[in-house]
Amino acid sequence: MKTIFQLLKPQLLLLSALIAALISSCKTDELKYEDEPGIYIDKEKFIGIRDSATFSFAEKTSTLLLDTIYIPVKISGRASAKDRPVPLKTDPLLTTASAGIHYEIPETKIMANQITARVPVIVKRAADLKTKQLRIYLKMETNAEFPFLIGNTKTNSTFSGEPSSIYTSGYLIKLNDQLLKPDTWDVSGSWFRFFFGTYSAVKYKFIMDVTGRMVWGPGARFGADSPTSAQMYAYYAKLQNAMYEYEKANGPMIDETGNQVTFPKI
Amino acid sequence: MKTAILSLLSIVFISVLLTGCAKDKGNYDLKPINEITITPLSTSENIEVFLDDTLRISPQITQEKVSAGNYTYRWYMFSDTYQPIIELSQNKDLKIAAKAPLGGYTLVYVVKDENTGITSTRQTQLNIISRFSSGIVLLEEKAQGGEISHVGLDGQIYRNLYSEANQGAFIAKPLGELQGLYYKAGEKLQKPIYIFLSAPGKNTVELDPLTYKQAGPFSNLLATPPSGPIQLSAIQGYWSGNSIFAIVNGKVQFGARDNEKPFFEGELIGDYEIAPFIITTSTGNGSTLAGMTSYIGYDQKNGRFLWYSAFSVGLLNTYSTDISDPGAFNPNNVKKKCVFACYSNEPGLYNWLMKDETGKMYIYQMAPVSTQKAGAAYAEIPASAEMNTASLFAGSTQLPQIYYVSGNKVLLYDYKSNTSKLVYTPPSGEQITDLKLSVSRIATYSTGYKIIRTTGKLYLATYNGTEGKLNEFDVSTTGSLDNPVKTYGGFGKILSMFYKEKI
Repeated sequence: MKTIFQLLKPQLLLLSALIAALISSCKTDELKYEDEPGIYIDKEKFIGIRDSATFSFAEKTSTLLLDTIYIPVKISGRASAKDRPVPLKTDPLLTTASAGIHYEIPETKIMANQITARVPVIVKRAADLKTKQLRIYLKMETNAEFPFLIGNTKTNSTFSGEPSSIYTSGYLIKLNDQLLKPDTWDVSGSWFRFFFGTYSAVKYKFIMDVTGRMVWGPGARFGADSPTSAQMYAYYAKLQNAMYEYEKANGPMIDETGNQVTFPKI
Repeated sequence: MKTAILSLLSIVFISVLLTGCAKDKGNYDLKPINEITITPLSTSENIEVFLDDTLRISPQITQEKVSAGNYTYRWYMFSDTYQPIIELSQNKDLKIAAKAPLGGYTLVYVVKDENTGITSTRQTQLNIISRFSSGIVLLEEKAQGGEISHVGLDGQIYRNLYSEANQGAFIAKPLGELQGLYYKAGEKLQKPIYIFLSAPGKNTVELDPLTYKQAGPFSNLLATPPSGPIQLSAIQGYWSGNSIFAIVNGKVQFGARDNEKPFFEGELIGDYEIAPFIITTSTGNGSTLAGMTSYIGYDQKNGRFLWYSAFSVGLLNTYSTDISDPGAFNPNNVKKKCVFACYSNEPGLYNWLMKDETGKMYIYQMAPVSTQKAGAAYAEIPASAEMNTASLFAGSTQLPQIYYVSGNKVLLYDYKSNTSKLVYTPPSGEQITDLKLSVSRIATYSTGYKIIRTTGKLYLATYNGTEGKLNEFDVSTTGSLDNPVKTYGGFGKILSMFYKEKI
């Protein structure tokens, strides 16, 4: 006597294969990350120039002796059930500021089940910053919790398939107590550039003298320290009037490069 | 056997498939919904309530088979201009003061049966209006100080408004005049009208146009207030966008942002002292001209016209000196004193009345271009017009005419014929104290984007030594005035009037 399997062998085999294929398609394809964890400075969080920043105590109130610059960091790999120290250090070959005198970097941890943190870099208003600009070059090292050293990072791929930005692994803080050109004067969308035009030291001092404003924020536009649009138009009007009065009394204002200080027509 | 098995499997397979199509006949314990019925909130299509008045609504609620339901209530409303919802009450009956900004709202009433969760909703259109939306605002001089009254277009008189709104205080002397602005961007907040009290040597203050309560110093509207007392002499908006101009202490203040409230970014730059008149220009149909100017002013210091057209503060411009295509006169060289400026009956022409050192009067018409062609027309006004002693002026935009008061008479100057005629003499003992034409200031497509349009009424304030009167005239098709169609009395000396159109 033939069994049902013998009778229906070709059809059954076909049916079984079909069912197996269907079932296999329902199976969750679980991704597994097996590489070592690493950590990097998350430069996507910065506005404007993302590999360095200038910090000037001259733009702050005269009583401010300490301030904090927060460096956003992010891990690659999985979150951990325990806290992990962030190995952000200074590069002694590229750093001219002195630890303890000009800056401190308190130990910071990636907290359990977190993938990001902000590392505080405490900067100090030392007397020598009045006459020189010092550098604090930060770099990420490895430690037992983050043994994988990450090099350059890049943004997600754009429509063309290419990343729009690639960032170096280090971060430079230029520290001074002088009125220097803001890093973000010329970045895309900067209101420094739109309202005030080309930078010169003479023009920048004139702007601060007339407006009374020392803190402008990135691009004079982004972040809590920045003026509003209405304020910028009012500053612009004030500067135009002040320049008119200055020129009536003194003739053209000449900057440190020998060019006349002017403001754009907006 | 094989066929039988295949048939059997097919039947089983099809049966399984067909079960999915079986109709769910149900076997539920259904209960009828006891509908809640709310009577309409208004007997008319919409409800109108005056600002600050109490709105009372007591709807009747019935529910099928329920005599004493356990209900909760919610009254709320939302504006026609997409503002956030305004919660009003959680009581069955509504009794609230209408304090929201003027305008249209949808008023919603929701009743919920807490036992079943069933709700029922009623809604109606609610319009919050003001008694003071339109009419004539009067600045009166009384023994105690200045006072504000309002005469509605329906003739209703509201007196003592300033003192009632300001804890019994009167306006300190000198009283000066009323200034006003229709600020187009303020329509978003349903607050486009601004009124100010301006007097020499005093800081100009803003009045709430709906209550006449003091609303703060005018300097709050300036990014960089000038030093000393801040006196507003004129204020005007532009037909499109949100550019605004004000004459403050002889300088032009300029603002151009789309703020919900007017805000002046700073003074226009230059060596000038501007006459207290502002002309903001339009072609009258929304189009623009090559080299078009958006502002025309007169520099009394240098005796010349100035113009402006930009979106931020800059140099107030002089006119082109290229005389290869000359106009009727050189706008850079007028050298006279400006006594009045107004919009003409043609959208692209603006009238400026000037007096020279000998007392002769002249009319200059300016066009809104930055070339010599801006000087469109020019004429000396005959001495018989008696304009050299005139103190009050009002320009019509319907006819080529300017009303003025000279020798306590109302005269009418026709600038097409360069002639003048007497149109009204008040009764003996009545002194003319102000003269205004009714105007609309709302520049839209339907009004040809004209900034000021006179609308056919003339108001003349008179004073007989004890009582101020407001005389209302209908302007005839020739510009002539007959006797007043209405006279309102019982006022103090009316020093200044401001005509408010409905908003």
